[in-house]
Amino acid sequence: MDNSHEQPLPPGVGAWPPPPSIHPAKFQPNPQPYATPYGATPNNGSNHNAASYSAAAQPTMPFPNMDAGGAQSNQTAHEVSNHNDSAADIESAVQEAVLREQEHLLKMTAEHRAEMANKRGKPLHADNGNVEIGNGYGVPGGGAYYAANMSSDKPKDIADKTKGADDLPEFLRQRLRARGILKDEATNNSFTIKQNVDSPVGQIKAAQELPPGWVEAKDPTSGASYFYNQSTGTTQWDRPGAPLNTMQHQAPPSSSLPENWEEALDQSTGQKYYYNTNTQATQWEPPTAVNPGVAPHAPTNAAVEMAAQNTDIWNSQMQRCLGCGGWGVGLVQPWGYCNHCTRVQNLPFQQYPSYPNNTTHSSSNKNPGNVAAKDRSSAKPPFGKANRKDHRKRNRPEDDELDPMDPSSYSDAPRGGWVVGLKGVQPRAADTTAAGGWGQSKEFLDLVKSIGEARSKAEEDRIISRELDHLKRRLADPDVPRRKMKELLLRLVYAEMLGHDASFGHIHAVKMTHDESLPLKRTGYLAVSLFLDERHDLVILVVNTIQKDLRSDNYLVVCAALTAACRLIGEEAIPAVLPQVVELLAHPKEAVRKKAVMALHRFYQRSPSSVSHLVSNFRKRLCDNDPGVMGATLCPLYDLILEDPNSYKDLVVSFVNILKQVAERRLPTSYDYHQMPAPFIQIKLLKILAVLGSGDKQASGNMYMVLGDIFRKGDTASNIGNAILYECICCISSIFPNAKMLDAAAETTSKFLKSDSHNLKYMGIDALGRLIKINPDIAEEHQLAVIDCLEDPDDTLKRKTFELLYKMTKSTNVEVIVDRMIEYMINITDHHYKTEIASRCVELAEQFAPSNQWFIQTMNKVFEHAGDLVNIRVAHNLMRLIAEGFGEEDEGADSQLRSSAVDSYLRIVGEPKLPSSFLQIICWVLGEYGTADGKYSASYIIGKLYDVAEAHPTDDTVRAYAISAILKIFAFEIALGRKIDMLPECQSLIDELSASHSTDLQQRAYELQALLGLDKQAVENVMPADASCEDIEIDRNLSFLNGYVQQAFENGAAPYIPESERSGVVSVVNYKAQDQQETSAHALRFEAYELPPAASQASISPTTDLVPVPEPSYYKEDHQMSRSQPSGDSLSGEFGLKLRLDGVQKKWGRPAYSSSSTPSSSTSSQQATNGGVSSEVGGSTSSQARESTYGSKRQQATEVSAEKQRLAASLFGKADRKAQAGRKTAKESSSTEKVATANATPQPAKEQVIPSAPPPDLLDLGEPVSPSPPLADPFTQLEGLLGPASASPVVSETPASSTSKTPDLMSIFSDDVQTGVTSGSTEPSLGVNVVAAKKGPSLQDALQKDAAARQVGVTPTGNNPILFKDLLG
Amino acid sequence: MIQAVMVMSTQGKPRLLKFYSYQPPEKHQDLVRGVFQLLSARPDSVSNFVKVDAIFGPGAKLVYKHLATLYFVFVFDSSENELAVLDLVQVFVETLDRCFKNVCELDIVFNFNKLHTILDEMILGGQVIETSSEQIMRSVEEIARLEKQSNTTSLIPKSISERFSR
Repeated sequence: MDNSHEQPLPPGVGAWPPPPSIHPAKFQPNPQPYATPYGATPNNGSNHNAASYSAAAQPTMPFPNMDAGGAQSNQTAHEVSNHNDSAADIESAVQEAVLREQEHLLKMTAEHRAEMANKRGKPLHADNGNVEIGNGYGVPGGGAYYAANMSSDKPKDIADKTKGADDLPEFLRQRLRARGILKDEATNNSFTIKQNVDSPVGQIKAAQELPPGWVEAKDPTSGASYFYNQSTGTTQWDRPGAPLNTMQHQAPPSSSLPENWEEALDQSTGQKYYYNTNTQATQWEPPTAVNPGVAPHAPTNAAVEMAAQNTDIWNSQMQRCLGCGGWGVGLVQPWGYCNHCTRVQNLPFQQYPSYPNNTTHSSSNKNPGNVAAKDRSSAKPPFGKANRKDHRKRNRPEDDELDPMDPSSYSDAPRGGWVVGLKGVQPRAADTTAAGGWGQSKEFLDLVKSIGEARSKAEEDRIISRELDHLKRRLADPDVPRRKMKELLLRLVYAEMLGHDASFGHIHAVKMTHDESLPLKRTGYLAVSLFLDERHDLVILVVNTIQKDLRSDNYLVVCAALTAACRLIGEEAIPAVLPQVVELLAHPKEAVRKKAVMALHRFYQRSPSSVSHLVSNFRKRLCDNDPGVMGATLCPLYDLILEDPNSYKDLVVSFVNILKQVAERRLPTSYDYHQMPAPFIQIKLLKILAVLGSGDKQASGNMYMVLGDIFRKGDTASNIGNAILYECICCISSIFPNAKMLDAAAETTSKFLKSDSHNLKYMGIDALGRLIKINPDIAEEHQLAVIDCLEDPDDTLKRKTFELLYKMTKSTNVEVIVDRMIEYMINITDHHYKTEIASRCVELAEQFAPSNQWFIQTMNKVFEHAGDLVNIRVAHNLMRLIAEGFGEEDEGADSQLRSSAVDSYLRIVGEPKLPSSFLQIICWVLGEYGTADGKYSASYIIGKLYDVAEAHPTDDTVRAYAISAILKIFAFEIALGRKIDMLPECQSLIDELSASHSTDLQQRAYELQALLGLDKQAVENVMPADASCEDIEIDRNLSFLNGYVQQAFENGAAPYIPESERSGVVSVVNYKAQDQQETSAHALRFEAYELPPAASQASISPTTDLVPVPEPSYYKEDHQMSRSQPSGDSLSGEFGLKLRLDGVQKKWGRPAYSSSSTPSSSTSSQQATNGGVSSEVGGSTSSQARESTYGSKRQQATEVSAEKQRLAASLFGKADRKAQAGRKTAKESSSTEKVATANATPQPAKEQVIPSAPPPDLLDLGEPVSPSPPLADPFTQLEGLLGPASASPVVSETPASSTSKTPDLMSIFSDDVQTGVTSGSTEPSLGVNVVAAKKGPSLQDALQKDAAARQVGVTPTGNNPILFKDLLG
Repeated sequence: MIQAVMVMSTQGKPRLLKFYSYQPPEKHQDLVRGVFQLLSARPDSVSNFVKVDAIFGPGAKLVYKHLATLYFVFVFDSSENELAVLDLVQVFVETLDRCFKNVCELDIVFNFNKLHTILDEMILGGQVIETSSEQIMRSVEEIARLEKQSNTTSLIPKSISERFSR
């Protein structure tokens, strides 16, 4: 559409036909009045012109034309004349405009004209020939109308206006004026006249005289006069020796044209351009810059202003200068001011001084409010800055460094502007052309404009609701033409996009989809798919249309229908369109095939079951002739493979082949993107391969070559090249590892990290996170880069880096990392992320805390800043940790820890705005240990607690904790035989709480009161000192009834079969069975309860909250971790916890804790734990069981643990191992989710264990240390049971020294398996445990996985012999 | 999969919204606001990726490009490669530039239906189907041409059929 602009230059300018058949707007075959025709008569031509020019240039002259208004009025005159059809006549008339002011010269002028006319053989009456146009009368610039031979009707509009005073004969007028009757600008003019008296008479002469050789003639067709040069044979519409006025406006730029340059008019656009007569070069720009400093006559600003407006005026609606109100072509700069005002007012845009130099679009376009700069339609004559614009366009390559569209400007947001703001949009013809052929109307334009100009949201809302009302009316109007409907609908879509309810129009959109006309139908579909979704009621009305349109002959209709189907067809409607869509898979148009594939994919996502039988179609489409269709098919295949990689293993070779071909550029070059062959297809393929190769050595083997190939060809210079490389790294880190590949990946990763681009750094960090799972050493060399990223101002990068650090944390660096995290956490406001990072801090602190002090402090910080965001269980965990201390052996350290905690809490407790959970901790700790070390008096602590309760009148939980803490303090004091007085305010608090709405608070208050009345003995029993971590047994299984049940059995009662068992729901059966086992386990318990459960404690003390519900997986984590801790060997880098919790379990009679699976450590520990669980099943809470758990954990990595394993092995017999093995099998099989089979296998083992097994056997969980014969059996069993994915690693494991390694491997390869294992491991354990597993939030799961990954990563050689054997050799 | 495509001005005004995964209409403005707040707070010359799981749910990421007065935003889940999506934005913008010859915000405002057409050629149901701006332009032009054609032709048969039906 822009062709004429692209090649706008008819070089045959000179060959224009003498009398133009149509009136050219302006045709200047001889644009250099100075140089050519006029130059022949230099004495009366250029000199005078120069003089008049400089005269006009005097800004101080009170010359009406010369001040601000003058510029504008002159332009109007130009415009009027130009727009008149009698262009030539008027033009010449206008060119004499200045003469009007010099009335005293009029007569002389007339004479001159007469003279001239005589020369041409056309007599002319001086007075009649001139129609005076008064200044300010319609034609602001005023001017003497040269009416010598014009057809009178043409300028009528002008002439009419000026009738009246101006029509009067000149002499009469002067007389009238002298008498004061005629008072208009004439007065002004006469004033001017005085100033201009000395204006050279020759000026006028020059204006009137044609240069020698020129003759004026009349075009017979139009009656317009033109000029003919007898000597050269050229013709032109313009007066050859351009008269004075023209000089002023036109001469300066023209005269500044260098040699051989001429000005011409592009006929098609009516636009002025320049061409070089020598070189035939053409351009829109004047060949030399008109610059104030360079202008030949060194004109003043005003003159330059005029000069800047030199060219023609195309439109009366020129943009006006915001400063002076002046306007004209090229006058008003994009920022809304003319150059003059820009300079005068020292506007910031000065940096783009004068217009011809100002051709870079970035400067001209970036200013808001400049709409004129935006003009791409050649249909209408470009005006305003069109010149520059087009120039720029042609010269685009030069501007490219500024062009934000430049593909090379990738990562960073470009500064340049190809967009203008909407503020101050001026509705003008040009804008409607912007809407192009897509037909937005003026109304829409006005709407957009008014919205853009709205000052406030409220105003905008008003505008839109008005629009909506209007649309509502119009849409309902049956008479509205269909064409119009389309536009109305689009406006509706627009309104809805802005967030307004347009539901009334939905039905109209639906209706429009029925339309026969393609544009309307498409608009209808567009609106429908934007308005509705599959759940919408109206969709049912569309389904039928879609169905019909899918059968259409017009492929565009089909495409539109497919697009809509993707969005709108819900599960129920799928069958209605499915057959058609499947048919379309074979459509001749590849665009349709592609979309059909996608639609089918979409259906599959919506409802896999209804499309599952058609999945094979995707495979077929993979062989499509069109690479685009093939590429599209990869999307659904990726999803399918993700779900079930095994059934697509056969495609590995095909995928590799495709990838190879793509990488080798076998595809048509049209698929290249930035010199990369079909990069998006490559990326998709790599993703697919990553899934298929995961844990599959054979499949991975096929891929190495092509991956290496891609690495070699990798282009790190372009964005898309890096995208492919990154995908390669992902693939390599996911498939079966290969040392060479890993090296290449590491190398590329380091390239990413060293790059300056934030995007690449981000990808580098991500890639590093993937690679360290396989080889943690890679991280070492990038330490600095990682630290840099941590300091980076880019939030995204920071977060990504924290993620990486989280994966890299070890006990050696935990302090730094967690401190960093907390520091960052304090500064962010995003709750979502704050929560995440807080829970990660907690997790890391629990796992790797180097000292108790540090741990407490860290937790305090976390709670202080994010207390409300972290899981309340974390708080409970902290309480428990403080209560239990960190090891039995070192009571001193424990009490030290407690007192330091008390100290810190007493310091903090006064601070305002502490999170509730933190206050709970504080209250609890103060209650338990506030007086323990005797540093603080009971009443001091009570006072503090009272303050807390008072300060949080609305937080019942905190108050409950506070009152319980007070109770405890009283109890301890009483138990110690000390008498303390009830503070009066405390008493009032108790009174208040006794009347509280919360029954919990009431109860606590009453209990406190009751306790105060008890004697020492009773109190000691009720509230034993420092017994918070003593276990309180709650026999949920009512084991005390066992005897009774037994009796009943003996009496012939039928055994109770749980409902689930009856219905055969296997997984639940397991659970129930466990319950039963637990029951018997309790019966078999041989260890005495340490302390009698105190009933009141259960209800009063918050500790009890902790005890009976052994759910939180948090507990498990650190128990497990702590258990693993003591070994001092190299691996303790990983587990080097200094929180020694080993003895904890001994206090806790509860099996739940020791039985906890260790989510944070690898599956192997879970396995071991599992063993522990079953030992408890056996009815033991003995330290032996714990020992075994511990041992099994250790064993996985260290020699020390190996020793322990041996010890354990020697301690516990083979039977245990067998049991363990059996259990393990159970777990493994359940991990493959074949629950049914799993159930079968473990069952015998359990049965064996549970009911009867003698305590010593059961107790142990058997350290599966040495591969003993019994072990082999379950594994062979296993082989059959396991799915192929997990089977291979497991099997290959078996010969390895320790079975516990299996899960490590599995955790590497497949998260799914891992989760499976997790759930599996908990399943056979006690009911309590099941609860725990169930409660584990998904986040927890994720964390578990991460933790597993970390563990694997950090202890590579010891842990993953198989893996690394492969890697290394 | 790609969850949403948004174009918004630096003032936070939506210029184009397309959601590929279901979002209740009343939530749209919140999403726009959320994204805008996120983006406007980001300094220049940082990475073009943002994690938006707080806005779009777990795993959601966003790639944006700030061009002059517009943000081009693609929201997607973990199954896409950030850098690739960044290039997808580039493809989109390039196509717009081809289509509008030096595109500007006004074009996008006035021709959002054309933008939808282009997007429909690029992305279908959240999956990328075409990444060559040339090819996209070709189909868009074809659509425009056929639309024009069908506009003129449909008038004739219509009148004929009307005559017949009488």
